[in-house]
Amino acid sequence: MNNLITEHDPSNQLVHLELIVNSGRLAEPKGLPGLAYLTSRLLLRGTQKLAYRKLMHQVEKLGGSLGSASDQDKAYVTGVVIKNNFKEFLKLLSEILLTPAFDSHEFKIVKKLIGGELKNALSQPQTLAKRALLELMYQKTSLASSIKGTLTSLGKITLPQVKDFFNEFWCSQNMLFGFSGDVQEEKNQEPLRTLFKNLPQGQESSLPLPTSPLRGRHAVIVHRQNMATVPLYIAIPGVADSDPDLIPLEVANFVFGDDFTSRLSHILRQKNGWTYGAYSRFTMLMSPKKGVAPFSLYTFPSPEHAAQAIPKALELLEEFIEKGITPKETQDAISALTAGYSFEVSTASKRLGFKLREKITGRKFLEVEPYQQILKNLKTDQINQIIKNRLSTNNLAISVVGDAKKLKPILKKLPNMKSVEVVEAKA
Amino acid sequence: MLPNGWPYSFFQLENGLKLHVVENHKAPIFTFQAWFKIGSRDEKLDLQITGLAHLFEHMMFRGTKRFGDGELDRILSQHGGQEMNATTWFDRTNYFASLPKEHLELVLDLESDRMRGLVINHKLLETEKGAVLSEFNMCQDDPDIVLNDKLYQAAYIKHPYHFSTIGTKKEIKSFSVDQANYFYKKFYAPNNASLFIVGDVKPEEVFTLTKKYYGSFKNQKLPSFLVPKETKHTKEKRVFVKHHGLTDPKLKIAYHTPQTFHPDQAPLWVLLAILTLGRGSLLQQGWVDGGLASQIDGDLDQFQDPGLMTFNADLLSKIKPEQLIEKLEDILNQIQTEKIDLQDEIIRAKNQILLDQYEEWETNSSLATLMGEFTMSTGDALYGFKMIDQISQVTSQDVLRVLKNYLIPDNRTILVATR
Repeated sequence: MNNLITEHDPSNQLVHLELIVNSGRLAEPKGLPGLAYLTSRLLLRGTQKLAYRKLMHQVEKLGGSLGSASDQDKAYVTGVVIKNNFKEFLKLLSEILLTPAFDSHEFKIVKKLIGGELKNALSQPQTLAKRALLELMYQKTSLASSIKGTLTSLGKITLPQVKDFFNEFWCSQNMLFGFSGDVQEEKNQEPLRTLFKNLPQGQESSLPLPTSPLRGRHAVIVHRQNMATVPLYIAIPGVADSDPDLIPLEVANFVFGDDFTSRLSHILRQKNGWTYGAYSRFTMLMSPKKGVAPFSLYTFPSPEHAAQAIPKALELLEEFIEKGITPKETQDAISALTAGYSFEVSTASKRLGFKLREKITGRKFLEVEPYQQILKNLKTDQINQIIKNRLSTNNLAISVVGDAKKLKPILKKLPNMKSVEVVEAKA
Repeated sequence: MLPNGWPYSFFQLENGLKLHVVENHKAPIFTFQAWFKIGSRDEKLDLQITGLAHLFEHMMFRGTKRFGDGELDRILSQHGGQEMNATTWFDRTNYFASLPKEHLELVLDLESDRMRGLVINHKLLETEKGAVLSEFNMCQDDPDIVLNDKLYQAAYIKHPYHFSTIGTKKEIKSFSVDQANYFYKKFYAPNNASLFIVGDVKPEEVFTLTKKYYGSFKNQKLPSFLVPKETKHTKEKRVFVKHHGLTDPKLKIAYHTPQTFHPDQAPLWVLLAILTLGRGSLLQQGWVDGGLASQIDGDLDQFQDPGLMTFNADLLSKIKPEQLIEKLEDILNQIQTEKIDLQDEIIRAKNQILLDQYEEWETNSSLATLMGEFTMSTGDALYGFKMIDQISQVTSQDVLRVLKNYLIPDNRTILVATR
């Protein structure tokens, strides 16, 4: 079975499961944002034999747990179970995948629940800032709307559409299974073989991530009054997960914004006390993708410091790209990442995660020594040239949440801003 | 040997410092955690202000006589440090970091140094106050954090769990260097500390190095506080709160429960799991699938003093809190009158608790945290494992008994939050 990956750890009391399907926002027909997410949630709401309550009760009596979700280009079923009950757990999973109920009563419930979650998101300022940023960066593409859709689009989705969507994408050729724990493949081969045999084969889907069409520098303010902090994202196009330049860029990002010792944290927090935290990542806005995902920074200064913190954050990003990092910073970063890599692969489920990632994005899974060797061979000039070649602030998106009256003048003053838009948060 | 098969050793230095070592040789890494039995509960009793324990936690990252401001983070990071942080709560403060195994001595050197050699001056204090005020502001924007504070303020009148760990803005701004120094000398003493080192380490080596770096510290006379007992509640309390960040209402229902080492804790855990743990739980079914809430969860405090069992819900639009309260009462009644197969629910609940615990046992840091929390609340690092044994023996009579004694209207505080 070449769409099955296992990571064996006989000492673990638990078995972890990850099922990944090429589905998600990018697979949805036009005009039905949220269909993929709704489908993944409805999947666990009962089988043709077991109503939802009974199904969950049975899973949980085994000491297990199941969850499902989707994002831009993938749907997920994740689970965990006490290892002695793994075989029984697999039987229930098979029943879910082969004969889901897709019951009309549960369909109404799930719609209501997702609607509630959409409304709840309005009370989470960071979520509002993130969503606004992605809408700005990917406007006019299918990534412009939320993974969960909107209240309006949810209302339009019908149960037959969910069933059709499920039948099209949830097939064995389009799936990847991962298990970690005490999972000697021979022992559990039989229920897995049966599951694969009975799943419709279907076709593998390709869902390329669209390139951001943003040209120039643009900002969006999600208007909200009485905020005690101003959540701020700044994003630029990044690189694909399997790009060989990503590792040197990660070294550079360690210096720029990876943790408490970074430049962002030092200037915005330690030195000036403007914010409680400041970070930057290649995977802050999206999980690792085959295509080019954004590189972004995030911070949340207090309103009285926003006028200083926002321009400073942009200035630090520009300086980082223009001037790169110093030899001492390179040495410290390589030392930190080299020493810290053992943590990245310290458990079976982490190693499984890397192996799944390799299958999905093409980024090679490296054991400790090969990774450390790559890092040790990197030079400062080489890293800085890569930063300059691959990152640019020419096309840039900024999102903030706060009082538009106060924030608009600050954003308008930033160099080369083409537009500053004000929006109200909507579910 | 711990139940997950990892060997455990305990040592104590002459100055009272406790050292717990757990071996996990699966990966060449370890976690270090230092726990101090001082939190916001105690500062209120001693210093009559709140927030100092938390602000002080921040100051512990600002430099010592040997290592300047920010150097601790930089050195640990350079050596592969991960999960480097600290937390403060009612009963305790903890500091933690994970590193590759070859840096054990480095961590003990740095951590012992900041336990005795911290630099506290006006400039550093003022800058860190800025960061703490930023954290305060960040918390104010989060309805869940604000509402939790309000709940404890309402549920406790006499006991210092009434007060928020972070303190008020006024208090944060007013802290002085003298107060910080007093706090440091008094509470950051070896006889008030427990160290947890979990990972690819050798216990004897850990003990030798700990003696080397901490052995010369003098123990301190620790204050003995008379903690005001919370008056027994005889009537339900209701609190109404507004928060600008809310769209739909939130509901919190909290019942007073005993402290961690009380024999009723095990059946209360099982009852909580029956009601809220997992999608098959009764409140998940009754509130969420019943169309009243979009999400729910539950907590049972593990404190050294009596705490709360809390049920939290995000209401769906146009749903009134009374509908959830009625549904809860209905479910509790069904349990009591055996309209629900309680034995079956208990099996599910126990296995869900076991699943949770096995997840805590999987990594060095989560295991150290589990043991640290129980040390602070009960004095016994192994209490969490003993609790699992106790839970396995809980019967339906035990569950019915605690339901009858604790989950009664007169014993609860209800908080309703709207925009």
